[in-house]
Amino acid sequence: MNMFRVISTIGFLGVIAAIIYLNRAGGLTGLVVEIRRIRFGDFRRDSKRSVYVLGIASFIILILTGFLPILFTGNSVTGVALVLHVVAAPVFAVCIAIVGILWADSHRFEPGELRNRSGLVTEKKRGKSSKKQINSGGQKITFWLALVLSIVVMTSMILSMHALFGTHGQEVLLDLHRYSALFLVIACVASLCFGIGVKPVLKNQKTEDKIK
Amino acid sequence: MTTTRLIVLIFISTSICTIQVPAQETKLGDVSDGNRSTPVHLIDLYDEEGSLIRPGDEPMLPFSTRQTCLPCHDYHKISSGWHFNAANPDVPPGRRGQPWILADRTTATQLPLSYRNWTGAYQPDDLGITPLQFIQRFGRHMPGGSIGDDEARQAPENVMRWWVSGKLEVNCLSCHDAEQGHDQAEFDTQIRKQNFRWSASATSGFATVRGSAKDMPDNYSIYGSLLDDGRKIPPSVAYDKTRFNTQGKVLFNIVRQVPNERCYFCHSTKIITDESERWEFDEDVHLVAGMKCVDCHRNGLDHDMVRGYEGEAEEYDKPGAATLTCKGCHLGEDLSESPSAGRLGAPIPKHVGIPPVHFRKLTCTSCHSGPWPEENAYNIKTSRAHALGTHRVNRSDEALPHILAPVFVEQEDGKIAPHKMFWPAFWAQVEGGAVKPLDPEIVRPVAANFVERDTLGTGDWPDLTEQKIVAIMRGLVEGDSTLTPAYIAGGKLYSMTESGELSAEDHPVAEPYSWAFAHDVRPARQSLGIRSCGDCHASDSPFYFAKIGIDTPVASQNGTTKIMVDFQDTSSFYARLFGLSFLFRPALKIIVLAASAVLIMILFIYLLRGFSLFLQSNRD
Repeated sequence: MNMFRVISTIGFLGVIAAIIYLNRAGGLTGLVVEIRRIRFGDFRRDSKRSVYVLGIASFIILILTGFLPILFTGNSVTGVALVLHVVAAPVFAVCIAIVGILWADSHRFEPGELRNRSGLVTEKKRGKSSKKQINSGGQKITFWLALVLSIVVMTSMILSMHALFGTHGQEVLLDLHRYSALFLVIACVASLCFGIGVKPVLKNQKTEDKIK
Repeated sequence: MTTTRLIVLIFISTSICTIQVPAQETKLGDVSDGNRSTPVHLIDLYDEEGSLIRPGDEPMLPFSTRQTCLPCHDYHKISSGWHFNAANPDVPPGRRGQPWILADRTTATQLPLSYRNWTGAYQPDDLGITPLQFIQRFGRHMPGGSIGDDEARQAPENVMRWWVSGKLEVNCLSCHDAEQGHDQAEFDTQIRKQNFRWSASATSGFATVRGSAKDMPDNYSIYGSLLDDGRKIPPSVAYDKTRFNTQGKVLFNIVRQVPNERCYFCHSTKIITDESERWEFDEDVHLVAGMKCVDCHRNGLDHDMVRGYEGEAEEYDKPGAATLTCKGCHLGEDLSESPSAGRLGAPIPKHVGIPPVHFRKLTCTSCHSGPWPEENAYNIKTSRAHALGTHRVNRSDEALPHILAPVFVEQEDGKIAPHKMFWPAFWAQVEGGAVKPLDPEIVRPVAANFVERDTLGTGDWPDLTEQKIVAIMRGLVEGDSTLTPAYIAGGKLYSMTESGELSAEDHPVAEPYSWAFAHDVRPARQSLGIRSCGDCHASDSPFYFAKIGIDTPVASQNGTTKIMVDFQDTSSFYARLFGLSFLFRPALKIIVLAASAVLIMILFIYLLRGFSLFLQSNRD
């Protein structure tokens, strides 16, 4: 428990630093603007956006209810926070599954895409394809990583709800749930960095370089 | 006054002269030579003066356990053990335990008393109850020693009575006698007659005690006194002469491993249910398996018994005690260098499917001990509270004190454990906000005028209306105008307003007294949670929502209840909400499993596609 508290504290300090960095880079502003634009009608028309927003909302609830008790008291989630955690969990599960279905194709790797290091962040044209493609290799990596971690997060908790594992197994599953959740948060923030924040920053840097 | 002081002085100085300095050398019976068989106790009997007892002695004196056992055992060290050290202020009180309960129907009293400094229990001295009075009331279930064997604690007004009754020495036979004819109920009979020095002999099975020291005058001598009243029989003992061998020695069937029957005399619990036949109840699963109480509740020569709760080892600096808790035997010690789980053949539990948080929030006993919780907590009777096993027991199920179990209460260590509980009820005087209990004997003459007699012998509460309470309070004030009386019952403190009306308020001293219990342990297949999480996590589960009657003689408060969760650091709203969440848990499992399956399929499909592209690019 204490070890996890230390690791998660370090992890969340990194996450906060990344968010501050994103905010300074203007990446979050775009996201906030996007969210503010959302109307109820949008959800009906734009299922992809609504799933994304609902997924993020439930994910934030899960993060807050799951990590705040650990970070501030060192104890596991209990009480009403646990109930909220349990309520948000299926919403997140459905959303992440739909996100997986809708976005998997646009996040697939092309042959030789990651051979050069710049492929992680730079934009690559994709010829005549009609599909909108994600051009950051880093964003693709974090997307697939997030899917894998989501599976671990969900199955570890569901397995612990069945009479399959004894005390040691339960503790392993709980640790698995916690650590995979921590890395899922990091992966998601990294995905945001690659997808929203980094590109503008890089573009800005390139512009500044040209000016110089 | 001067004469009394002189007598006390003479008594004390005589006692000091006769006190035997405890021998420091190791006694024959205190250290084992390694042989595990029980030594034969064919021994001489000694009276309290250390004189040999032989058949045909005149007068025949009762044997003294101190003098009889002293040649081979360190009586002084033994008498410092847990069962004898309650009144020693240097001994930490440890986890709150069962108090002695002063129950009196006439004064509608059930008051927790203890010489140990347990929160919620009152010191007998504070009520003016002398050791002599205490022993007469509760000695029936004491193994002797303690206040009965400590001259320093004798109240000056009782010194002469102590001389007549004799000391209540540690009665080794209470625990270690495997004699078929051992009769612990006789101990109670002798205690009531103030036959303290005769009590051990009376229980032994080879001695008969007659007469009553209580009826003897203060100047009575056991070596012979002339009595004015021929109807009063002086205490005397007669031994079964066939038990003495040719050397005048007597065979005691003494065992090191105390038989369960001996423990049961003081530590029995009767659960009051509709099924009252004995064969309908099971014993503790450990005892049924052939274990003895003392297999876990062990002690060394100092007789400092292991009580067996978690934290005891640290509290008393007894590392070995940690290995004798539930966890110690069944799960082993985390830091042990060698495998320590499974001690005495204890099965190592798998606890399949139980989230680890349960082990941080619950004691083992929560799920495994006591009667299965039902809609209402059970009324129970215990040996020590209800004088079970004695000839004076009131067999009525309604007899005071009214104890409830199981009540799941959060302990000081933050864990929930099953407790026995009762609501204190007593008369008190309020002094500057402090509530001090009154000795029921002070209240009895007044209360007897207003409380109806227990003609049916139920021992149940009297009908105490608010008018009667006011009348009793007025009666107490008439007797002592400086008194500010109050009555505590059912979680409330009742006092008289200036206008003479009765006011009731919630008060800390009125809170229920509870103590954790561990027995009887049920089999694993009857533990809470064995059927499903719903055994506890349901909107109506007894673990959280069983009703706890607020027991009170006050008529207007009868029938009021609390629920289990009121005694835990959890809100009933949360407990209900969390319980309700289990209705949706199957749906949660299906949704999350389905989502996981979808994600796994996506990963699988794209992994295959990627692999085929990789192979294709390699071919190209």
